[in-house]
Amino acid sequence: MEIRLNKISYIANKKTQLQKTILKDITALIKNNQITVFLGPNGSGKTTLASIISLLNNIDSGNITYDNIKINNKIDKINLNILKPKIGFIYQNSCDQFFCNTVKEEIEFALDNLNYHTKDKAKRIKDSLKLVGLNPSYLDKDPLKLSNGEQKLLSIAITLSYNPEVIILDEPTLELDNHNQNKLIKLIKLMKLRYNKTIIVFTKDSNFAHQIADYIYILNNGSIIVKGLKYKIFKNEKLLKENNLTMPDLIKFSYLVETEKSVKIEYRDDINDLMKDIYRHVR
Amino acid sequence: MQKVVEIKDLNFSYQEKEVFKNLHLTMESQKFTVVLGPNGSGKTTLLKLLLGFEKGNSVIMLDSLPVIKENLNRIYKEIGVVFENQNQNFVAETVTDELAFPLENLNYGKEEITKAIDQVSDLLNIKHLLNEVPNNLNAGDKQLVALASALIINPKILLIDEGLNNLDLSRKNKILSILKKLVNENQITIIYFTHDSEDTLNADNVIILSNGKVQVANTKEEIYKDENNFLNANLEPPFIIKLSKRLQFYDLIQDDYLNAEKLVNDLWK
Repeated sequence: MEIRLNKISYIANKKTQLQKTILKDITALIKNNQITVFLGPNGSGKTTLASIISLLNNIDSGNITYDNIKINNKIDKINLNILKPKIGFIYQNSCDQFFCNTVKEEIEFALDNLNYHTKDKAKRIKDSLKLVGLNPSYLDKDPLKLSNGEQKLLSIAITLSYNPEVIILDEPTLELDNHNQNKLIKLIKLMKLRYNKTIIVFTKDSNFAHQIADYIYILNNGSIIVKGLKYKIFKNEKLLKENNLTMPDLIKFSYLVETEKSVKIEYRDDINDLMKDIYRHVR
Repeated sequence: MQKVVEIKDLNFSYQEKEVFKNLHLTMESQKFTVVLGPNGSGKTTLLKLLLGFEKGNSVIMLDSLPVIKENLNRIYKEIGVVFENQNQNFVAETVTDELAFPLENLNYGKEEITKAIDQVSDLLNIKHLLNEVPNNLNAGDKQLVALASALIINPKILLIDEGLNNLDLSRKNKILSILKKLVNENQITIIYFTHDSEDTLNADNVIILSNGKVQVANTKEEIYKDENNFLNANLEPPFIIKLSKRLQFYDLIQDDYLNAEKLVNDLWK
């Protein structure tokens, strides 16, 4: 699915003293079968934008097009029912959403809630767990007793169970250790490559963005500051600093070498490639 | 060196699941200790045991006091805690009132309270938040307010549970260096629980927890000497250590580097 955001704005606490513009004139193109990352610091509007694209919040002005369906400040019920099952949103504190006694019931609830029809529900539940690397022994476990990492994987499994076209993740790495982060990165890439999903990630984690992004929008103070391919964005120290963001470790090293020593080494995605470049230059 | 935490032969199970078996652990006073462990390694449980929220089979010593019911009031006067999730923790209508709250509980006078709020908000650079509603703040600012209200009582010991994860990396690094200064200059003890190996770069000492056991405990420099200390716990060393190890393998450098600028300078002399 292709999503076009056209000059959307969102105002919180309307008509009260606390009224505040959270998003202002956001325009962006989220391409089909790509990983689009919205990178921004605390309070930049990431979670609000994520819930708007997920149709959980209405916009105040502008419009959004999902393939051919256009929505504006009033969402038509018919359109909502068409779009809802196509969009999967994985919350930042996804474990706060769990309320069933078992993992199985939790996934089942999502399927029933969206009226998802499948010939073999039990198999569908098992398969979505398998996709995220959780074996069938998890079916009868209590979701609230899983570790943080497992809970994150479960919330992704719940989303995958109804096979949405778009997967939206809000700060997915926050609570994850190295091992679970690597698992998540592989899973997101698999979703794109094998299952042709459109993936939208909201994060302030530059290292994570660097590892997964096809295209990046920098969001700050409710506006899009800049958009572009990752090397263009991540080599721009001034831009990152102005927006309270940091350079990914790998890029930072190459950048340091270039600025401090006037030696140009490639910008790399993998520490072993960087290593080889250094070896070639220094030896 | 004086011990701030002493745990001997501790067993603890949570809802029939064994979390710790024969746990042995000590932490030094007036140091910045990072307790590093993957998800589900027992970090939060350990914090709860230290605070007396949970009870194991053997008595824990915190600042030479047994963590038992009778001592909890005394202990709580000396420690500040920043919990992982601040969503439900705020009680007051403004940040100023939120910060005054712990001091009012300790019967501080009005002037003292104003002065303390001024100092801590200056230290953490949150003066601009003082009139805001704490529950309306963004996740990062919430964590700073939680940290401020833990620091405002001038604690001897500060415990932080994944407490700075919501901050932007640039702000997090600034706060970590402020905390480090507090340890060095004001002699407080900081115990920082995290899953993020990068945080160990700010530590004096590191304890790696894995599967309810202490994998290794030492100064950070010693821990960095062997990458397996991290890998065995299903973790990765900090980026700069990973790079150092690879460069050592190719004989380009001899020692671990903790600073990228210095490494670049030495490589291209």
